[in-house]
Amino acid sequence: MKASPSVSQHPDAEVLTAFSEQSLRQHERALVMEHLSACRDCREILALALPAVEGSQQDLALVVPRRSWLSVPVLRWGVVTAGVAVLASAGFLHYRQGRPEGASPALVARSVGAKPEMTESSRPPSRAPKTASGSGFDADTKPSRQAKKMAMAEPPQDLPSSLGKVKSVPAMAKRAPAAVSGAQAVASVPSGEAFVAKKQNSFATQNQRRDALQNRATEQNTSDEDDSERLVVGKAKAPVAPETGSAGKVTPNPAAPSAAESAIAAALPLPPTQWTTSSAGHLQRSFDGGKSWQDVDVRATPGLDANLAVTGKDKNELKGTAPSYSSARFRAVFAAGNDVWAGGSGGVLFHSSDGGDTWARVIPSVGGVVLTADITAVEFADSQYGKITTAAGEIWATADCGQSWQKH
Amino acid sequence: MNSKGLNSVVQHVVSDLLEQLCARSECSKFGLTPELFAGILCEVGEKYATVAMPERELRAFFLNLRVEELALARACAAGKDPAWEIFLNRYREKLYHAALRIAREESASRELADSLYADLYGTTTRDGQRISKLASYTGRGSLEGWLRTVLAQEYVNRYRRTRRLVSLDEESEEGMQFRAPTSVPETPVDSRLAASVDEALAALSAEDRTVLKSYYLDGRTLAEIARMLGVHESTISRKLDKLAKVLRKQVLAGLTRRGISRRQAEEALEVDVRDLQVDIRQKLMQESPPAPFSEKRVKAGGRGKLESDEDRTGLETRG
Repeated sequence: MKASPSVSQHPDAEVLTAFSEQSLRQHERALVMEHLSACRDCREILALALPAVEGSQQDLALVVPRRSWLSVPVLRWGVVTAGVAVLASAGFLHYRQGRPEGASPALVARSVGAKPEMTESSRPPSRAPKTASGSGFDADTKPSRQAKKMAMAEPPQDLPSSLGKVKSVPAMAKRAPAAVSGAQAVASVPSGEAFVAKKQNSFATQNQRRDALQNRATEQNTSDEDDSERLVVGKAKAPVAPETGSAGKVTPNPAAPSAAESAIAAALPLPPTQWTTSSAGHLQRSFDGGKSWQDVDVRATPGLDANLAVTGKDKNELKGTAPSYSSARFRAVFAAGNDVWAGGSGGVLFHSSDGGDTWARVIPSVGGVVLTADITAVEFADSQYGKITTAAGEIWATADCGQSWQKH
Repeated sequence: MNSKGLNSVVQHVVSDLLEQLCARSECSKFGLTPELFAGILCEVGEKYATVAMPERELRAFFLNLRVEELALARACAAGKDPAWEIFLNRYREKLYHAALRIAREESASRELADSLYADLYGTTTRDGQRISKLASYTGRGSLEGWLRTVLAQEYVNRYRRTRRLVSLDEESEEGMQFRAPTSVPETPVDSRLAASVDEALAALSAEDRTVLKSYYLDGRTLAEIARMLGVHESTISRKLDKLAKVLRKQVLAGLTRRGISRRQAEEALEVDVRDLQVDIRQKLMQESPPAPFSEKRVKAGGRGKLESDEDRTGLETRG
């Protein structure tokens, strides 16, 4: 073999790969082995190029680096210990609450007497009159085991009063339904109406996102509803909340149950829009955390040419032709909030400041020379300062949102 | 058979196997015609075949090529869009993961992978033609493995470049990081012991030396060495045990041959075991020509250059 490795030469990447994959002939393998025994770099390359071991700890650590702190045994056990401590203290408090010796008999009697209807159900009927009168506790300093059991069986709402704290039973009773109706409360955030209105403003540029989510939540919704109608539907859930008190603003709608669902969808935090470029060079975005992707056509922007931002120079002064974007293949995209930058073949660069609804083309140029190399990476530190890397290894930087550029 | 004759043999074998290889490679899927693919196969054959290679072996060589991956890579190098689409679908994620495993750091790995993408796409031009790194792939190993190896080469090259730029002050601040741990032995080692160790190490096979160096010098694990050499981990473990025993035996034999009594030799090994280890390290460190892999072709007389490089490296590490 002509191109077989000799001991003095570093073997080709291909020969090293074939060595690693056991597909070299005997004498070729012997030559590579001889070289490896004398070349640390090639041994290192061979080791670095080994394929990943399925499920190895190393790979897991690389994939989920953020969880590494939990792997510290001390912390893990710390969490367990803390949990045990909390349970123990809760049990201790509960136990103290159940012990008549821990509290004054009068207090216990009062607490029991104050809520006969709550404790009644958990007591044997024969004991009820006795406890209600309170004489049993007053006369007997050592309460019976049954009485102790009863006190223990009382709902936790009794805890403050039995310990002589200031929280009143009515207050707790008032709180209880609120807690019980927690699920409803999610659907009917007290300021639900204002919340939805706020959403309307903040996500005005992301109608499609909400549409996608609402469509998912309200499959029965008629397809001819426009966005504003859906928002009215969103308001209709407000009266579901007992505390909103905005019944006067209710817009009656027969689709109220699904409206509540859509309101949930609108109220839930939306997954951030994700951006990528397809292998075919299309710009794509996802509103559902990457489950589905849709192509984004930058050309669909009305008045794109009017928005053409030829940076600070008249188009005629530019040396070189600005590449056509009609057949552009996007290779890099960067998104931060509503600012999205997408670059690709032939130096094509687009910017959207409204989450991808409208686009402006940016033609970076320095001294009248237009960027025509393929853009392989776009990165912005903030809305103003950013840099793009080209396939030719150039770095173009801007400090004013693409108005002017410097080449490095 | 001269090179002309060799080329005609290669062409003959290629034309004979072309139909079969084209069918296996599905080259038309990537936008390559059979004629183009035949040219690629001839080029690969002429690169690796030798005059003394019998035709039977040449046929086996072509049949063992990974022709599907070869067609894909060469179609990409020729700028065929369908091929690029398939390539990116197949290898994009894998490449980034491989870069992350190699560089072990997000930004560095991205930079590494991006630079390889630039090379694969072909940033340099010759006569107005892009030169893609994929054009050097010949299908002898898997394309995925080749990509990983190229990434690793690039990483090692970069590391070496960085290492060269480290100033002397930094080097001294970094302590022993860039030095081989060879400056330890203050006590002079008996020259006879050194000679015996040299002799014992020289008697080892290349594979044994590779295993020893990978384990003791490079700090690789048994599992890593086993995967590098394509054997089971327990094989490497047994080999290391055996090597330690054999080395000890041979060093002892060498010492006794040099006029040291058996007891004294045993004592030398027992007492100065650390020194002996350091000595072995010194002997094992005769390596690593620092030429980057992109400039790896050593021309005629390269061996001499290599040896002088090794000497220089040795001096640096010892200094």
